Amino acid sequence: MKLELCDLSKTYHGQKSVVQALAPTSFRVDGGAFVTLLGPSGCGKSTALSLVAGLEEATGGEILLDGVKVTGPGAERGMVFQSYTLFPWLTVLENARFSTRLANNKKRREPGDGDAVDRAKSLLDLMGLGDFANAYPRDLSGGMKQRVAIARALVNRPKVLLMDEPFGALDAQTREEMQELMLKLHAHEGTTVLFVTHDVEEAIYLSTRVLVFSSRPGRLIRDFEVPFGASSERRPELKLSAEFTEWKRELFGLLHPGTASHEGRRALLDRLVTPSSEDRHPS
Amino acid sequence: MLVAGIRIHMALLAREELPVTPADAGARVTTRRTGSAPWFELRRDIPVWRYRLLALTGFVALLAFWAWLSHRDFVNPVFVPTPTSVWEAARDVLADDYLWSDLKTSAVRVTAGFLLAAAIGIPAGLAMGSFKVVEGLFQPLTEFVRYVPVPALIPILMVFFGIDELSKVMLIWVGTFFQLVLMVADETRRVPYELLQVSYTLGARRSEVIRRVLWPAAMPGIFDALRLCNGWAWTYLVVAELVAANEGLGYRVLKFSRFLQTPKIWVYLILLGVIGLGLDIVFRTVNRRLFRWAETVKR
Repeated sequence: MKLELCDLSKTYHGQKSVVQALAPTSFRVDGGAFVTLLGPSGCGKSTALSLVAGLEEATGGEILLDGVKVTGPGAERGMVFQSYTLFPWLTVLENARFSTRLANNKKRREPGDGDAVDRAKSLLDLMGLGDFANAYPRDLSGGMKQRVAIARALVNRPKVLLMDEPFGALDAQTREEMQELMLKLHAHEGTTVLFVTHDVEEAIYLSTRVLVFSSRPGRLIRDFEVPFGASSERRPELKLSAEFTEWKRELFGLLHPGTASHEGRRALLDRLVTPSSEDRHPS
Repeated sequence: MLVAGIRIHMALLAREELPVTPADAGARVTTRRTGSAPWFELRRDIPVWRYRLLALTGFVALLAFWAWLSHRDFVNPVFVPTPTSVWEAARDVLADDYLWSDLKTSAVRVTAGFLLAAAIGIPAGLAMGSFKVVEGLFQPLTEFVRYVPVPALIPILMVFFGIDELSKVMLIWVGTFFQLVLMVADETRRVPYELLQVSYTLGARRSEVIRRVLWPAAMPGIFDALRLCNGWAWTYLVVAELVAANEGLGYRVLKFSRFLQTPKIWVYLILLGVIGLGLDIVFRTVNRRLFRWAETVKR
């Protein structure tokens, strides 16, 4: 698996203004990696993800998945959204196996893929939802809904899993549980993940690589390999280590340049009081 | 259902993950309902038996007021007959053959008009809510037609469709179709866009998104729109029958009125109300049964 973004850019033409959401950006994601796009709101990280998903059209540049140009959405690029997107009329199991009933995926399936229902069930078990296969989404908590959404995106074995602030709407404790689950899942499934967040700690803890974006216009400013080993080796204690804290400090400094100066503090304050989802979906 | 809900809650607690959805919060309130529930809490549920008792009280109070009013000197008994005289008229009417043929004729008309409106209105509304092109082409047109008073169309309808059943069915169709189309389109647009996006990223084609996502997601709302439209269908039925008919509930009311048989008019009016209420309850019950999954539907 190889995902390449070549000079990808996106400009929104409003009625009065023109906003460049993503300046020409290039990077490459290798198979099995857990790559996080980190940055403040309005830095184009979510835009980049929707472009890869094929849900929006790029203004310039192109995306290549295994050398093939991406022209629209497809099951080989599964996506998990920040908002809850389970189909409320389907049970947890039916939600999880939704993609296996679709014509495109039936065509794509190979004999070795095994039974679709078994695959869905084993993913639900992995997500700790084995007992809830027949429950409806209305009976689930927010964290459980997102776990089903992740299982649903993985059932069809996507080449890359796109996650747009998937834990953004969850409380702190559930968020940490979800991070543990993500590590477990990445170790187990080995799926390549492209993850979007504005949470520095989440980015370092989960990723093998962090791409830092800055805002207005959104552009890639730094590319870090994270040295904390494979997903299977990471434990919550890692977050308390001196090295981890040092990484946090460094990335925080990148996201909030000039924090020490008066202007910097003002800028930080402005950013903190602005709702973070404000310009995630420009329309 | 409740027991299953509690079991899920216990399982959740065991996992040290508290449910945070509104649906869960609602379920928790339900379990507390057995005690002395408050009367005047903003938008809070009250026990079912109390709700039904209040509904009954409303009807009894209306009946009592009517009985009181009908015996006053300042009202003309021809206009406001006593409950007793209406009751006697009801026994007469129930013994008459024409009641049943009226009911049958009216029911056939209303059902034909309503089903025709639904059969065309639902697909048209879905298309209008799904595609901006269809919306642009038909929505302003529909809004325009919707504001033309339907009874004013009766002469035109009679020219087009004659004075037989068809013109009555068409009047009911005109009265409900344009409302229904707009409501179905609105319900379709209310389906969260993320549901469509996520379907695409799971590999769905456009036709599959419509069939497997848009349609089931909009269905509870569409069903509720049908319930409202059915009420309007009965209204236009009576309009059609008052103007030109020689059978049917509306026609009979007009005929009673010519002979100043007000008790019988009241019997028919009450009958129309009972039919409406009954259909409404049927629609609501079926809605609850079919769409148990919906977050807004009470268990």
